[in-house]
Amino acid sequence: MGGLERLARSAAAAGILAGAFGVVRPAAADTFGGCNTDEGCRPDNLSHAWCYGNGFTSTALRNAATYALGNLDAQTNFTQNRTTSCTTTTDVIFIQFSDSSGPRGDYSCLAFNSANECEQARVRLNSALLTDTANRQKTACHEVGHSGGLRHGGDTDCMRNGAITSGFQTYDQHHIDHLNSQK
Amino acid sequence: MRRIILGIGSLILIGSPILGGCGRTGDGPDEASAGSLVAFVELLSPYSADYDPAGSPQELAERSDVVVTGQFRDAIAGRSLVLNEDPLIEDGYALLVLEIQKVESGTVEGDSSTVYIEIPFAGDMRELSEAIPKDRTVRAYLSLRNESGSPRASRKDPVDVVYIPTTPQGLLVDDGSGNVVQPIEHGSRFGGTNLSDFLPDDVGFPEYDPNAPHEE
Repeated sequence: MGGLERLARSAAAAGILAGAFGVVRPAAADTFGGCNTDEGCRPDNLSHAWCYGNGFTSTALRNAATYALGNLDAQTNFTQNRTTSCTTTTDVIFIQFSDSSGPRGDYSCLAFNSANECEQARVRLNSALLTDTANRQKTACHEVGHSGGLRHGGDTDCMRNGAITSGFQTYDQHHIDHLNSQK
Repeated sequence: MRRIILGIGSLILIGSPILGGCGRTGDGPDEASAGSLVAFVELLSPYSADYDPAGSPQELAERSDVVVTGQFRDAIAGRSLVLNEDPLIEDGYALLVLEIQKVESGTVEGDSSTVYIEIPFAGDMRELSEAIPKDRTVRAYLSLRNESGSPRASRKDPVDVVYIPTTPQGLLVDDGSGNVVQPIEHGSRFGGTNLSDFLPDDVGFPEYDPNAPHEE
């Protein structure tokens, strides 16, 4: 790296760092919802219909999913409704798997509408790693946050990565503002 | 000190996936190949994971079955899981075909010339195959997929041995412009680096924080 380039990068970084380490993260300063490399996938509406997919039989994981959608409903303008069967219009389908080398959970948008909004997503929860209620709820909250359009970010709520010992099972105000900024 | 400088550079680049491309000169990669990496990352962006971040390449290697360096040769359709029977709703996966140039640590199962790396992918397989950056050097920290309890597969794996990246940190692509890109985690970049900063015995990553806010 040349000296000038390094200087330019460092100078630009100073501004970035000032924002990154500020106490408050203003929602307006954070890109959101474009479903691209920077931004989470915005859902098609604020009504989250969800269902148990094939083999999602673990009572503990079902409870975590129920908690996470209930929390989304309670903390934000989203509403949630579990349907007894999955259809092509169900917004979130939960499935489970077990792999000690895998992620704790993950989210994938399966279908988009013409506005590049996610019409249907699936969430996987890893029973091999989610062995206690706190971590099940945290990861379910995390993946449901992705289904609401959030990316990772911050270190104060369930959108952080990795295992926790307690807490981190809700959204912080920054992420609530993002979730509520949608149509 | 170098790590700090590199980390600062990476912070600038987080959220600016094409910035590296904007600064390219005639010495850098050609436009078509660079565009492929951008397109590849973009195609993977509808996926996010909650994972336990490793603190160093060394830790990542300890959690991996094998670490290899190589080049992508293709992306092919992997298994497809049936999320719902009626109506049929499926969850697709892709296998990234990585030709091995060097095994950095561990032992490759089966065919030692190629590994197949699974990623969830519900998009157009042809687009992914066209976008995969075949001319870039890749370092992959991999774990054997050892999964159970998943829904049934309507389409099975086309190969016997399937690896998964050991967290999104485990798949790293050198973009040829002085950045290392982590394509699974939304194209997050480590600016001012190359793959020599990501060897299995390295005790620290360049200072990229996967939990960093996406401030602009």
